[in-house]
Amino acid sequence: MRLDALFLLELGGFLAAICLIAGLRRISTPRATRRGGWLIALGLLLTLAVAFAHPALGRNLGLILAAMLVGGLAIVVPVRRVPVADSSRLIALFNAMGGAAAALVASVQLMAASAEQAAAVVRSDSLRAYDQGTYDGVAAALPAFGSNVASVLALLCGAIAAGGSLVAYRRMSVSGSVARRFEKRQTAYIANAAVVLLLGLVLAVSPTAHPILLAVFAAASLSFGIGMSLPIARTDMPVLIALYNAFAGLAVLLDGMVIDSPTMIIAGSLVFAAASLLMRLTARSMNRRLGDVMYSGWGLTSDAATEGASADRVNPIDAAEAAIALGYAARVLVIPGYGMAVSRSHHKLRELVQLLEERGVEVAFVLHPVAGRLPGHMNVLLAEAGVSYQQIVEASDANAQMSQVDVALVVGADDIVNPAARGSDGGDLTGLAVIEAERAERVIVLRRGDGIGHAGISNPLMSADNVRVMAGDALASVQSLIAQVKQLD
Amino acid sequence: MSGFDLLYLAGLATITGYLLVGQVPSVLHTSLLAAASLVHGVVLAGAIVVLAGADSLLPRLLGGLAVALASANVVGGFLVTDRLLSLFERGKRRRTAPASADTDPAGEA
Repeated sequence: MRLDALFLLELGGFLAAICLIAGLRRISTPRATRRGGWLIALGLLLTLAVAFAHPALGRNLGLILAAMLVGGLAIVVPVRRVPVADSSRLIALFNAMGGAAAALVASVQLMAASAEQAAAVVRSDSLRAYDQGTYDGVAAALPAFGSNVASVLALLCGAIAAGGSLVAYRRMSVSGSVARRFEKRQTAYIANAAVVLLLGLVLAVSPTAHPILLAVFAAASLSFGIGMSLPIARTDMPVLIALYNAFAGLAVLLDGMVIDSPTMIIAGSLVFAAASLLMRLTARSMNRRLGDVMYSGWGLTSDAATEGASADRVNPIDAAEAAIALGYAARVLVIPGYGMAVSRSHHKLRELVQLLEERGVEVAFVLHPVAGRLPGHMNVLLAEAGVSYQQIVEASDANAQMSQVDVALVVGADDIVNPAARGSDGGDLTGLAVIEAERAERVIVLRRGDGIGHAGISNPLMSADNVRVMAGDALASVQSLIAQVKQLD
Repeated sequence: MSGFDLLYLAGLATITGYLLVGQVPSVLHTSLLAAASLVHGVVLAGAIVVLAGADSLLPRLLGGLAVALASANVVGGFLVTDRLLSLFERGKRRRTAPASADTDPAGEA
């Protein structure tokens, strides 16, 4: 084995792949640490070093550095501005970026390949070595075809990831963004798929990838990804993000095949595997089949379910009364939801819980697997606030013991405590395993809005007899509860 | 590498990925998803290679866009992943502090 520059480059790529695997391993164990993230970063840095050290890297060095600088710096401020609680929509954004980058790489490769093949045709026409030229041409055509297919598929997967992720990003950032179901959706979708399939085949077999053909194919793939996610309900966004993460991984894998980079193949495969597994786990934790999420034939009843929402009458409660109920309870169960994340009231909530514990109240948090925007969203926030793991119970355990709970304190949660999910008219929520808060002796709900969660389904819990609603921003409500509890006794 | 070598590599790496994250607790789903979105930032290397080989305006434009997007993917992905993971570390450190362990009305029976 020669110990030359190329050997070192191969070694660098190999070590990079090992770093990525070890980093992901570290993050997926219960004792996850930041070091896992650093290992992945090290792997990426090694890959970059290899790319830069490659002898073929001659042209456009200034352009490369400028583009890296612009892209890398442009993202820092937006990321810093988004609170930790909304990390999931940033993940959707990164999937869109990675997918788009992979699609662009594939299209440049396709254009380069077509230029090369055209040159090969010209060469074979030349008088010199006609026979050998044809022979080489056939031998070279087979891998070229394979590489063309991989490029086309990479472009397709990358564009789907970009389009779909952008819809997911928008749906999670813009409050009014809801699932869209327009008439003749199926027809438009199938027509779109047909265009993608046809152009894809043409691009795969044709030696010359015309830029306009490429652009139309990319646009059709993008709109295919967008059409895929438009009808999907907001509550199902966690599944969707993982899905497009998998698509981005697949695109990177295929790109790696095209430009012959083992590190990219390994990284893409890892992402594809991890994301598709996470997608299945997330769907399962929501008690929902993947097919149901994607083909959203259900949810057609949601219009009927929303009706009468405004007619709901709720029983109000003020801070003083709520503080008495909490302060003199034996057992309190806190059910946080997205409202806690939005109002950033988790620190204050922990303070309230501490106060109650000092009074001898037993307090536990129950975390619904899909509370917030992604599984684990609430865990992250409570960890930030310093709530110990022993205080957190699983939803199924909480439901089993709900009848012994004196007060269930719902903080900015709606869909995950909506009893309508257990009926047949729960619209998008039907079948979702919910926390049965209404079986607690009393329920206090801190909420800001009008009792319609992200799924757009009215919540009968809010108007039940044992439920009291404290209106207003969760942070303000929790603060006034703290003040009132301090005044007890 | 030949076409089949690449397929072997992809297949084995996919299986490795499944085994790696198979038993991930739901608490870590968000961090792992963030990490996965960081890992596909490796496309930056591909974008650099492609841009380095570009010799006309359109490939340069597309390649430059790819490099910029992939860089944003890497930098942003790292910031978010590290931020999420640091929360868990902080949570763990506090867990070792004296905390009320048995105040759990609905915990395991």
